[in-house]
Amino acid sequence: MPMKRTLLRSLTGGARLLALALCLSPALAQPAAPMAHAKADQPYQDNTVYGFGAGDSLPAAQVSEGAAITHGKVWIHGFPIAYTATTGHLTAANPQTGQPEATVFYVAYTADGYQPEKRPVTFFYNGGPGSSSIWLHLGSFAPKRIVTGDPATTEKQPFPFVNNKQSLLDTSDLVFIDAVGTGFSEAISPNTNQTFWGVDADAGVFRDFITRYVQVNRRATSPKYLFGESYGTPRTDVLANLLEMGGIPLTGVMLQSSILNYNANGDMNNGSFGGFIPSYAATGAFFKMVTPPPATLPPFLDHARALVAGQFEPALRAYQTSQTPPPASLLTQLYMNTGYPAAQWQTTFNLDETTFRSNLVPGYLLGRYDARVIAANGSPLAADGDPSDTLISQPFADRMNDYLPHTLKYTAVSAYNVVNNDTINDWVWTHDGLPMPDTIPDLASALFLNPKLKVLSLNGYHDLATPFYVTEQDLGRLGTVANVQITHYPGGHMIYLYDPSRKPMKHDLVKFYERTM
Amino acid sequence: MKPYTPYTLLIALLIATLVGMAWMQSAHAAPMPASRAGLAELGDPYVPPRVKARARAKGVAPMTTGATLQAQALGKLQKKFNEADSDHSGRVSKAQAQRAGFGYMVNHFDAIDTHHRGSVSFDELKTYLRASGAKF
Repeated sequence: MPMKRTLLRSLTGGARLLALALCLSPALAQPAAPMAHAKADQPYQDNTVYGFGAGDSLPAAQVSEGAAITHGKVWIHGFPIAYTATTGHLTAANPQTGQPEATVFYVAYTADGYQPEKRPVTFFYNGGPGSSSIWLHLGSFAPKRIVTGDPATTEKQPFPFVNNKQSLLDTSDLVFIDAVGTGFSEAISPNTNQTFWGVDADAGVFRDFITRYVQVNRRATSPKYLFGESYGTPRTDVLANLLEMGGIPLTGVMLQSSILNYNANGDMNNGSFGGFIPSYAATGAFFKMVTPPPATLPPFLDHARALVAGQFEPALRAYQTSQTPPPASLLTQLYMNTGYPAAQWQTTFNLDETTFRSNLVPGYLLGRYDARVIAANGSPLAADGDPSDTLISQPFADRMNDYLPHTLKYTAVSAYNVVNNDTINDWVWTHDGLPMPDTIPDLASALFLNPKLKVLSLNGYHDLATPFYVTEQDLGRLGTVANVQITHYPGGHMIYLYDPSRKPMKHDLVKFYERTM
Repeated sequence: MKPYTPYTLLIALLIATLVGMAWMQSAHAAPMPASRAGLAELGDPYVPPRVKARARAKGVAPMTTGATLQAQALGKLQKKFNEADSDHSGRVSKAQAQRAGFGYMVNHFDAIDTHHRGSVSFDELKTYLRASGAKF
């Protein structure tokens, strides 16, 4: 810590001792003085062969809570933060029966020298369902991150893997959790992976992992946060309520790129894709196809929201119920606000995101996760249907397979399971009697149990997978509660991939941690 | 502990080798196997068509707000309360709450049990929640 040392040198003897004593005082909850000697790393060789199929499970006797321990430094605002990385498994057990459920793989980054009892701890996970936490882990706020150059597709590969100046480790300890059937997480028999492939069972096993983590690491009194992305957001709603009911209160939840109510999906919500239109508008503005070009996005998108609510939705209802053609003036307005031609609005008035992405820029396919990422039809980046996804998928997987054994010193005989495509197809979607989950009641229940629970919804303007306007309407159902804060950034589903949005995002997150209800 | 015979070890080794080979192929030759490509094609958030069909058959789920949404949220708490009320007495003791994993009730039991009866009703729980700032 260079600044501290300079400060100490400039002080005289007595004051220096006092300053040192203050520095070391645990009551200040400040990092202790730098270690004289680096602590030794403890590599871990995991010889368990993990199975990721629906019917797979491990016998309890074959499961261990072993972990690799390594030490690193992250530089944030020019200051180093020494941290310990713990990479391994903890056993999630049923809270009532004590029976083991699953061996859950995680990577925890804890800043050295803090009192764990007082330091915030944040649990991160992606979605799918069936995705590991690789995207948040290697892309967002851990001590190191991959620089993709998004939305450009010209960054040389392999993508740089760099010190993360916007890491949240200056604010909170960070734990990245892999869902059962992903990473190296597997069910323990007599359960199978399938047992935890459902809305309620999945949230339950996350609760039981967090319970175990808290117990093992003395975090009962630490302020606790959840950070979920995509399917990780309905998981957060259900999980937050389960944790609150279970007696593990949370301080805050972060919902990034939300899908809180599957029944509000474009092709479910009375069949309207109106909720996507403000995101189409942001995309059209990015490609300079909007007339007149907006100077800034927020007022322009307010106008787009009003256009949807005031004109598009009523016109769509009239069109769907009585085949009333939409007024020409509305088609013109839709064109001016999105750049998507009026004639094509006429043929596909209820414009779905795939049609929009395929036709906005002739000859090119736009990304679904990030509509600003564009690839020529027939090019390799367009081959899988989402250039923004293809751009990052293999580079992230490659990096993880290098990072785990070589930096985190966790060596496994199984390959890290980035995504499990069986999961999403075998998933039990029912929740509270609905065939598809609506998790707003879960969040409402968590807020009843904990009225001080803070909620931060983070949204990317150019995300066509989970459009921000739909999320605003979902959260709006809670009424006006002071707890909920909604923020927006240029960028896609994985907002943190867009470098210029990282600083404002980090700023808003730190403010959120500091906020008290 | 599952006994390791040389045979199972051999199989494990074989699997590990195959996984390793598959990985090497994915890293160097095949374009996208260990990726979210599958999900991208399907769309994420993705729901299998059979699930959507079932949802459609049930009709549009209402976007509940206000009193209806509050009732849904309270229904979740009532369900947990009923689960803890193992003798269907309409009241839950601390031990019953403990057995049901209703940690919230255990942690706040004495404050909820204002009449010191050693058990609480759902109404007493609601009264306590409101007094704690819950808006319903």
